[in-house]
Amino acid sequence: MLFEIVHRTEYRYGHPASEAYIEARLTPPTLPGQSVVEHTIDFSPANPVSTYRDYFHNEVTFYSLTLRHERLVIANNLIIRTREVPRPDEALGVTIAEARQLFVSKLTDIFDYLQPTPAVPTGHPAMEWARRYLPGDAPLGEAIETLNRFIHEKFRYLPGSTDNSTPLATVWKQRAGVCQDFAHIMLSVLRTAGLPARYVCGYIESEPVKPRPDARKLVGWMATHAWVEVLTPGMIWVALDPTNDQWCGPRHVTVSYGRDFADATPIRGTFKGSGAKDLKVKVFMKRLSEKA
Amino acid sequence: METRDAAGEVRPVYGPLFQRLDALPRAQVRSLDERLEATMREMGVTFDIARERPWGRRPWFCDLLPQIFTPEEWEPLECGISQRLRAFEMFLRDIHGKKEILRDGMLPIQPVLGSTSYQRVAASLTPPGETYLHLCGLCVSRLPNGRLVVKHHYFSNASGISYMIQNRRALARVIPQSFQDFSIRSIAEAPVDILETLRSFSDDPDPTVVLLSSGPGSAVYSEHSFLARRMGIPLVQGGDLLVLNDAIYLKTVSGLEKVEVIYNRISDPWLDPMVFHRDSLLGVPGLVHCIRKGTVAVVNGIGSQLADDRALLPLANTIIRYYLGEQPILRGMTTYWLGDIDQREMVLGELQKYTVRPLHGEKILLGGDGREPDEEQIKSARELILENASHYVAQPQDCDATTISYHEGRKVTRRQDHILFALRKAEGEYEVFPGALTRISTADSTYTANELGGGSKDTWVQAPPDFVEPAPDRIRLRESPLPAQHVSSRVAEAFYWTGRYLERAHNLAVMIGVIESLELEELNPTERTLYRPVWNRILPPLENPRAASQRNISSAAGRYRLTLDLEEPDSVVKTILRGTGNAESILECLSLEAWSVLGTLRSRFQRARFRPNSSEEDLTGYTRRYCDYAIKAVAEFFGTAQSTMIADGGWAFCEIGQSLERAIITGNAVCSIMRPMPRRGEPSEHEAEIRLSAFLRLLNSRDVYRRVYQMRIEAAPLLDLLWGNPMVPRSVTRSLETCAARLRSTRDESSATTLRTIAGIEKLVQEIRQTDWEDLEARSERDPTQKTNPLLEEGTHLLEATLDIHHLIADGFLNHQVHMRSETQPSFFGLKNAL
Repeated sequence: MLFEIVHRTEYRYGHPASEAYIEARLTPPTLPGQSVVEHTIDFSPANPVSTYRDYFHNEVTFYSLTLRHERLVIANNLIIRTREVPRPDEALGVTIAEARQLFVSKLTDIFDYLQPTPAVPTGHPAMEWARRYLPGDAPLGEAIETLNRFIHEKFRYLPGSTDNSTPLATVWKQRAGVCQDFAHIMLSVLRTAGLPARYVCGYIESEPVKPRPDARKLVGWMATHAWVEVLTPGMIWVALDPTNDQWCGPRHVTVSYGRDFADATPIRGTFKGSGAKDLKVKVFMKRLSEKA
Repeated sequence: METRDAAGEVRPVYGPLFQRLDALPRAQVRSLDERLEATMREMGVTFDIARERPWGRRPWFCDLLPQIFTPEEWEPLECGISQRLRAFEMFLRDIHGKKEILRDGMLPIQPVLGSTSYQRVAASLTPPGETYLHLCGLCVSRLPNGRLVVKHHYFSNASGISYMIQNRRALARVIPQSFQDFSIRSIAEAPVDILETLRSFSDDPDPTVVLLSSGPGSAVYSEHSFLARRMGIPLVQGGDLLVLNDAIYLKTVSGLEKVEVIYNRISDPWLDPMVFHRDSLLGVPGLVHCIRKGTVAVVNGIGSQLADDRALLPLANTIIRYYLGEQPILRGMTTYWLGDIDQREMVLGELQKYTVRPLHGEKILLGGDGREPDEEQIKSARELILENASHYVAQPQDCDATTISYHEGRKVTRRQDHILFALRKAEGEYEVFPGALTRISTADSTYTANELGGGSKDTWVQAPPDFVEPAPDRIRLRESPLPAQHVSSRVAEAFYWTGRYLERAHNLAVMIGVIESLELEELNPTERTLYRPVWNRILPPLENPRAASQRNISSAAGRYRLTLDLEEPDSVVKTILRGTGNAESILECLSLEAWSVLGTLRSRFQRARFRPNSSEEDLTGYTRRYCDYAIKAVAEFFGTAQSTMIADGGWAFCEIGQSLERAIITGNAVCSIMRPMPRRGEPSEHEAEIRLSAFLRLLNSRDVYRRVYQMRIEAAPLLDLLWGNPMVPRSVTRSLETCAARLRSTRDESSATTLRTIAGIEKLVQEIRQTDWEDLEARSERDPTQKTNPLLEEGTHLLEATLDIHHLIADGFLNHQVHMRSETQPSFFGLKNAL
């Protein structure tokens, strides 16, 4: 599938800021399931940027502005082609106990993906879920699919019910959250069970394709999406989307990875001299005809 | 016991010292002690653990009796420390790279990769000279069996070097004779050695090196300040630096200066809010990116703090053997990491025997003072350990040797340990400075750690008999000039706002004082009704000329609030606190005398109780007293500062702020009075004069008017006097000319920015002087029907121009907006491809 995506982030300040520093993780990696056709990140006010690859192999764009300004806009313009990738059935067929055993020799490399983080604590109540849905004798693939489904069933998707600082314990308690919380819950259970897992930030085509000519109006603005990837013993990651109860496919566009939201966050900014900030984020995603 | 051998005899090496001190009567020993303390105070050596006090008032405690290391003790210490550092350097490189020691299964993974000090970002950074550890500290302690062992690593942050040097300087002044009994190795050159190392990380033959400090809030700020001074490099804080095109620049009043090397004294987690703690205000956003791009070297390397994690102490021998293939020369103190279940069980079994500490910092959970803890302490420690076991290590309580210290002229027994410092040399060896910071428990504290109130001893390393001190290199010993060329914009800005706020507070206090005096006079009701609108018009909105004020200061209560109410946005007290707050942020740049005036002023206003419900008489009394005091103190501050401050360009901005504030207040007041008064009918000539007279009194300028004009008060001459007369103390022209004169007196008098700013000021002065107020007045009288008032229009225009001078100064010197303006123009784009 071919997608055109525009992800626009706008900061407006209470007072003009004298300095602004932005790190953007907005460049999608090239993967078996996706290849970038066109990509630009536009900053306004325009200023030279530089890039680097971070610890989680994300390409990061660094932007700094030391000029007084009243607003700052970051637009991620992307055309990307995605395709279905077969799942590693063999690796998903081993039991969870076998998988854990196979990971022992790789511990130095996968350590990060087994550890709790401030946003993703492990232990209770993830422990009970791990025991119930990820028993040692269950085949890995089936078990993580079940876990994915139960998170979808037991938690309500409720925009506005949490923000970036809501502790996971609150999400467990209120059984509601947004995609970021669903992903953190799932990571917490997986890591508690000794399965390495990471956070993925990206885009998803959420509206069904409408063939009618007025279809454009139906494709709304939305936010970025988040899901998880689980490492299989063949050292191949598989992706599941607990918010939508499915394995990730060509309608998911991967942008960045990390241990949790904080590592993978699309845009991180520090501003000096600015008063209160007003932040607006919009994502526009539309499927293009392959002939184009 | 440090000073005695196993048989209880004084060790021969301490003999001569005791001989001299024992020969003195107690009173004389005590007076030596007092001299030592006074010397420390005089040298400005402080260690401020009570953070609420801004100025380091707690002098550093140094004992009369020095600690001595014999050559036989020193040599293995030196070799052992160097070995440990070489091994940990290799460890840091490995862990931030291939992690072979972990892959080989030589170390448990959890305490290494699970450490909060393991900075993942460091994996992609090249440390200076591809080396993490350059300037390191390490704590050793003498066990009961006499053996010296390693107690803590301070590899990433060598804190205390200045105290080591200052102890030597102070003691040499107080007991010079004792120094003649010994041959002691010198440590005076340590800062120069460090500077040389720092400079070597830049290809530039004359690189800009700065010391990055967390600021006066740090207990060891006096150390930062001392080292920067000794090295002749600028002492900066995060706000002094900015990132432009992937490089670090120091904001100075002479423009942006590229920084090549940073001697960093901010702990990693606070260094860059883009990478570490998001809410850090101490750091420099983007600094890590500049390291990544190789435009700046930061010493020690990011990630070094991992080497100081106490959970690694039990693994040190393994690390030394693994990387160096050598047997450890210097043993570590027995240390248990409580994250390990076996070690934890063992320690919990006999908790009273251990000192329990977190993995970082100087806090102590249990023990540490050589005494058996009570049941309560043990119980609460056990709870905390079980909550978060992997955050703690335990070491035997019984590990610090005792020594003799002098307290009020008497010998007392204290506990001690030592921090030694090492610098990496080009060949990869570590050179240990021949001295130490010996920490001792004191009368105030049973702990040795200075953070917990401990004191110190000068530490002598005896030269071996055949030792020849290398001759000091004359070229290296350049007496460090004050870094005058680097008046940073932060310092200048703080000076500028100190000047502006104090002048504002002064004006406000004068005006309130004048009103209180007028109220005491027998005013008739007509006068009252004429005066009061003038006051209300001028007085409250000093801060923002266009702000509508709700305040009514016609009552004693209103004036009292305007003086002492902290809720009142621009009250005298609030303005004074802002001014002194700015001054406090640059304490090290102020003379002691000048700060003493401000410190007293501030504490007096801080202590003032707000009692708005007192009787009218009391309110008036308080208002007068505090206003009088503020007026005197502010004037005293400017006077004292003028005669005691170094004229390095920073101070000039305080006077610039003061003069500009005065110009703005005068301009604003004159504009206010020109706006029509809400009243019935035209004022009579007499009424108009009463009003103008009230106005001039508020500005303390009525006598000046009379002296200049010798006639009754009229609008046009008054305007001419306050706007354009260069002789009148508070005229806009005189104030602006003072600003220009101060700018000319700075070091950069011929820089483009200075010239542009002076030209801007002069243009305005010219314009003011050419304004013909009589003509404008005549015009408005010729046509009283017209809607606009030429007098007011011209005044408003001039006031705007005066306010613009602030932007000219701020953009040019303080926040560097001008330097970038030509490079980037904001251009907003339409969204491509969207919708």
